[in-house]
Amino acid sequence: MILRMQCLGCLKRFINKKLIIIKEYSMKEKIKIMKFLTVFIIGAVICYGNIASAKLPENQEAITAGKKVYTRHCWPCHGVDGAGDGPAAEILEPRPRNFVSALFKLRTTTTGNLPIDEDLFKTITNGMPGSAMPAFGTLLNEDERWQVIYYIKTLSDYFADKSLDPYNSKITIGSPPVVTQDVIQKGRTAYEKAECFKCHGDQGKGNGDSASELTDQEGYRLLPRNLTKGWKYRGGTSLTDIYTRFTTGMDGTPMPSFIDNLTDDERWNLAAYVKSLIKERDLTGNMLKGLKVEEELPVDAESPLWELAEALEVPMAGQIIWKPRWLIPSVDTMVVQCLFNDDEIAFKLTYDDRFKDVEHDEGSLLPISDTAYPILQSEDPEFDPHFTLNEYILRDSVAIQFPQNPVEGTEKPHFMWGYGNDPVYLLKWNSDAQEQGNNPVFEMNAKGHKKPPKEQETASQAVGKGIFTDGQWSVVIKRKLVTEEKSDTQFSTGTFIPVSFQAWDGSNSEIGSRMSLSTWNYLILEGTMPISVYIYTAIFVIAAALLEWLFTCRSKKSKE
Amino acid sequence: MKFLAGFVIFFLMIGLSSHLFAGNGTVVGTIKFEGENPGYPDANINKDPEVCGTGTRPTEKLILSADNGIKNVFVSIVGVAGEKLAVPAENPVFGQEKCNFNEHVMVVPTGSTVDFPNMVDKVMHNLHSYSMKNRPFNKGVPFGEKISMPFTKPETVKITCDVHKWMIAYLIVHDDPYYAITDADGNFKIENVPAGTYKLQLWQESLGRKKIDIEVKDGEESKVDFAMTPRKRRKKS
Repeated sequence: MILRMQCLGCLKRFINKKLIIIKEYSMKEKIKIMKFLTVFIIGAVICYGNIASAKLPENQEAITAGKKVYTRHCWPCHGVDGAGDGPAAEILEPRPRNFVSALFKLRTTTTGNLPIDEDLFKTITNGMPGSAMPAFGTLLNEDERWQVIYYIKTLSDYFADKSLDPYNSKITIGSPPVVTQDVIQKGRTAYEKAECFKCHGDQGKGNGDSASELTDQEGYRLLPRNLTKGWKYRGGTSLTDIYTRFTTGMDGTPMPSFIDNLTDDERWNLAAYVKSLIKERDLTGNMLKGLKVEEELPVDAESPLWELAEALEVPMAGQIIWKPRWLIPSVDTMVVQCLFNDDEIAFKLTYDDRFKDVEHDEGSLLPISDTAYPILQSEDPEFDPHFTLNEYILRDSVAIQFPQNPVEGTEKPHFMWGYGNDPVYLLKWNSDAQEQGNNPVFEMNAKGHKKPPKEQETASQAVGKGIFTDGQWSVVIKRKLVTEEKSDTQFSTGTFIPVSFQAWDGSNSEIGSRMSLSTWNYLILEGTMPISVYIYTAIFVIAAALLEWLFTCRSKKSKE
Repeated sequence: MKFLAGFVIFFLMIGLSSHLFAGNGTVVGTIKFEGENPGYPDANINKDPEVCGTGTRPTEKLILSADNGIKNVFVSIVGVAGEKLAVPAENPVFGQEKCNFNEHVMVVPTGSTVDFPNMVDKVMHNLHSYSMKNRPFNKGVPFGEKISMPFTKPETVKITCDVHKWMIAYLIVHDDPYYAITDADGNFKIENVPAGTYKLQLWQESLGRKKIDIEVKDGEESKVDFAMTPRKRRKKS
């Protein structure tokens, strides 16, 4: 990239300089210069092209060097022999690629065929967003990336088979269409024709009818992409990337190729439609501004009042501070809003969750093992996956966490349930309680992971309600601003109150410390501003302007 | 010299034909199940009720008759120096109806191109193959469309549809005509087998592979009755 910029900058300067000189030359000379320039530009373009795609020769030396790269970076997940069975494999979803069976998701070759070297190069460079595969573009130089590719190819017999040369099964990718509303509309038609909704859901939330039963080639659970989350597209989000995915299929997964049964145009339209589903997210904020209203606060998430409240998008991550850790969290982003009046405060939490889990039976689950991962139960008694989850059914839950006591300065309790002297207060909503017609909101206190959230003994003063629509929970939790309970957080206007969020997705076997959580954000409840503030500000602004004007006038006069 | 060559060829031909037509025998038998039935649950039909129907369907993983005869065992004789299956002029068809493959175990000659039409079910099926020697495929086939895939190497290929998880079938790519698939009572019959000693290979999707020594005699019927037992449960530590 830097090289490219330098190259372009140099060329630009060169042309500018030459063009200035051109003015002073005769016609003949001008033509000469133009000819020279043309040759120069063409030459530069060719050179530049070569630099960008310089591929290391595939030879024994490169393979040996590649093995070194592999032993440094790859085997913990992909295994010593490349069978996708490294020590970390068991805690990952999706599982690391098995290079021996050589089924690759991201290819530009037809279904069932090997990837070309450039496909592997792209995957290693960009990583696979939303999975454990990092982008090695910044960790390895280009040579190292080619070397490791050549080594990986020696791990499977398939690459040695000349009859399987992937360069013979490359798909041809045309140029993407100009995206218009019409193209997107046609893409929606293709979405329905190809029945993408069967797995990806009607609105692309990854919650189709067949979503919960999908597995990879080896029987481990795989979930279809929530197409609204662009940051999790394994192979990139450009139109060409998306088009390539359903042209080639994603081998080793249930994602099929549509090369035969959708026309090229249909696939481009579909790519445009899928891209249009991507929601942008803004994770820059950390301030949740409560909006003061006069009305009674709604428990209903669909109340129009919520449209007035400012929204804060909060990134969520798996809990990996204390055992049992959680590396495959379901909820990775949450939109929060806050309303308050003189008496009460209400929060609305909105987040995507593929499946509505409203039953709860922990069975003989506890104590939870650190390595119990969600893997499909198979009807096949032969299938004996490493960890089966057949003993319990878990609910969806969500919690808001505050420091129990007012904080001074920037010091806050630990965001993972506080610690000894700095307890936290949580408002937790449980879907199963709501389903049974009980109050779903529980007031809890915690003092660190050894003293995890425990329900308060007195009846909960808080209320709430969750609504589940098409792969999304919208949960409202409401409480009095001020309570008499000592162990409750008290809310007052004009101060920054640390607030953080936690979520549990039952069907992802999340419970206890196996959860998604956020770090601290700030909640501010702005009191109504007295009108005098605005008047004084206006007066000061005008006065300052006047003074400045006077100054300038005077200084001008003195100069004259 | 010419005479000598002709003589040699003449005798060679006699020799060859005498070998080829040394006489054929027949292998018949019954494959039964022995041991504790693993009790595979019925398939739960819970998708696309208007096309696939509802309720449950008996599993095809292990189909036993009243006296434990096993259906759908692929019985083949290994290494017969005899005829080879010709690639059929018309592509074999592997279809499905009501979200069920038309045949659970189907044999096609090596080198065949198989048509997978979706002409009955008004839903999309994604036909997903699991194989080692033939490159696997996974293609979406909406209603009214078909795909054609070549199978160039002998192998047992599993075909599934991920949308309808219960849809599972096996396509056996095979070289020669010395095979049979057991009927509902577990009976099979392989005819015109050149006399000799061979290995009879049994394969059943849930019980695995088994080899038995057999001898085929000219004009005789060799009887092979065999009991397959459940595979030992695969244990991962």
